[in-house]
Amino acid sequence: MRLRTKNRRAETTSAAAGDGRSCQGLLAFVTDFAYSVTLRDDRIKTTHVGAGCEVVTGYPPHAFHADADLWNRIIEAADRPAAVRHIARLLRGETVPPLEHRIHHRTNGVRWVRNTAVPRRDRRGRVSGYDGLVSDVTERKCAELALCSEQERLALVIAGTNDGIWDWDIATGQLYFSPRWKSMLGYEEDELPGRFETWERLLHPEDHDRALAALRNYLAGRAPTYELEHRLRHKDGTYRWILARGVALRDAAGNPVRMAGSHVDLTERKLAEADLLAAQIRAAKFESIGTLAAGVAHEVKNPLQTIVMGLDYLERRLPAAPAETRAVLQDMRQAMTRANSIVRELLCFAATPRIELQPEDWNALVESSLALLHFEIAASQTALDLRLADGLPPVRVNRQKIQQVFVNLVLNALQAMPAAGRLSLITRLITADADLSRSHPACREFKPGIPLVLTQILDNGPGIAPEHLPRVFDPFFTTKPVGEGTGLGLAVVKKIVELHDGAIDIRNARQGGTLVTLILRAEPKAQL
Amino acid sequence: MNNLLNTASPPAFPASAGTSLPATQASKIRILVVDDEDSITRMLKLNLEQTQFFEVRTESRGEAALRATQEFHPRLIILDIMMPGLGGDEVAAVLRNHPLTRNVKIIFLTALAQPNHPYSGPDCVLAKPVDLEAVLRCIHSQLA
Repeated sequence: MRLRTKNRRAETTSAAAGDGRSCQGLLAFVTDFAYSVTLRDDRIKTTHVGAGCEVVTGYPPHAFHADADLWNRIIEAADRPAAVRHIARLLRGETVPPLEHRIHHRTNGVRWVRNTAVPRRDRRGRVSGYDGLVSDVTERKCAELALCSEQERLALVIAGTNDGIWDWDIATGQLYFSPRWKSMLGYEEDELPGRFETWERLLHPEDHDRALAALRNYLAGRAPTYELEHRLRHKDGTYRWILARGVALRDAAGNPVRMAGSHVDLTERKLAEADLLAAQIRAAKFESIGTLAAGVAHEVKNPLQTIVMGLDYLERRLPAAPAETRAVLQDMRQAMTRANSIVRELLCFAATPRIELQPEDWNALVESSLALLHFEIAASQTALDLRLADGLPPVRVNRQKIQQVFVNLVLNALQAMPAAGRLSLITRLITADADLSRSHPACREFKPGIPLVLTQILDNGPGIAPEHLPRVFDPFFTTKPVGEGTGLGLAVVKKIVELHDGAIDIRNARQGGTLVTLILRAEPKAQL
Repeated sequence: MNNLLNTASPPAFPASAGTSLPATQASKIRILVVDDEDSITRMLKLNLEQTQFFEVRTESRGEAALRATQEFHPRLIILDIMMPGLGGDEVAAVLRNHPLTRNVKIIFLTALAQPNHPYSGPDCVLAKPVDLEAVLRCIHSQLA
């Protein structure tokens, strides 16, 4: 390409002014140059290039003049097809928009240029060449690209993040909510008006004032950051715990004009925290009860020893005592026996034994436990309805402890029912899943997919008063008449189940009566 | 004997205890009962002596129990474990290490043990509260 400079006149003018050096100095700052390409028989014949080309390309004008293909070669390979199409259109006589592309400067790396060219026609109207202006636009282009990639990056971040994004124009009250912001609360992209009031309306009433105060304090500069844990109403009516963070843009006077930030859904974490806290409180409570129980039990055993021996002595001294006296002694012995059983259960509850687990045939264990209660079941004329699933995998348990669980649970059921009640007991194999965790929160710790053996005991008694349900596992909580229960039966049951990494749930059955659900981990098949 | 227990068990009381009932003072088996609760030692003494087979001395301190063993020469000691001063387990250790007392039988009677979690060791352990029948069985098994 041989270029003919359009700057020639300026050059000439400057030279004519007799100040060649200052002209050369000026040229160093020129960032564009003109060129002219002339064709003959549709081939490039001559190329004239302005002096500014040396600054823009690193090559002097005569280099282009001597090598018609030089220009083509310094175009960045990736941009060359576009440049070729650009020239082809010019040669067809079309008016084409400027083309921006990259070139390889001789010494200065890759530069962006803007090439504006128009076709030139001869007297007969045929395209005889084209004239153009090449400008170095590297700085602007880089700025544009940087901005562009910033925006792309931001869009990617917003789309990719699990956080909900919000952007609030404070003056107009317009508030942009990202799709994730909305889906966090169960809404579709096209739902919820993009207004500040939308957020305010969704606030939990208890959090409303606190949330607005946090926002006001931050906007007024009284708080250094905006970070707020608050509840927002989900479309299904429940509330989600949300962590909001944001920053404000301020004008020169420091007044906030715009504020943007993110929402993180903390609900699961909050639930887990609450569970953990409840478990810690429960553990602490049990531990303190355990310590207390062990101390009390020990202190009570000594006086009981005296009473037992006293009764033994009196009974032997008074073999022919009147009936009344014998009845008194009998009552005293029963009272002593009761006190002793409380002490024993307390100690059992307080102890944290390392229990030994053995794989057991679950149904056989259920039946052997019921056999222990044969007398009580028969005496109460209770009808037993056993539905034990075939082919259950073994369950790793401590036989005696599990029998104690069944004895306690079945005795409770028998005592809850009027005479001639009906007791149903079923066993079956289930798999842990989300549904189970939802219906039985106690099962949340089972990993989905693991096999579990489920056992349910249903009586047809009056059920449990709703206000008592949350307390049934509390030590010393009993609804039985004084003297009939120690209040430790279910606490011991729960403790034993927990020692087996199992779960237990007691609720009122829909059809009436109390339903106890006991869930234990089945032995994995590999170990059968 | 059978009258005393009102049951078929325990088996007839030690042959070595004598052949006639009631035993004379000289042929009675000497038992030392040690517990820091006086009511317990008193009740055990009353009950055991009522059987006519035993001569019972009581002490409420470990140190006194050691002295009493030397003076009283019991064949068997019913020993509480948790006591102020010398505990029952320490008293037992001293007795075991002395040639003259090595063979004295020991029954621990303690609130520490649970019925299903016997105190480990070679001796008989009874968990409080325990009735006379169980004490007599234990004495029998130790002296048999």
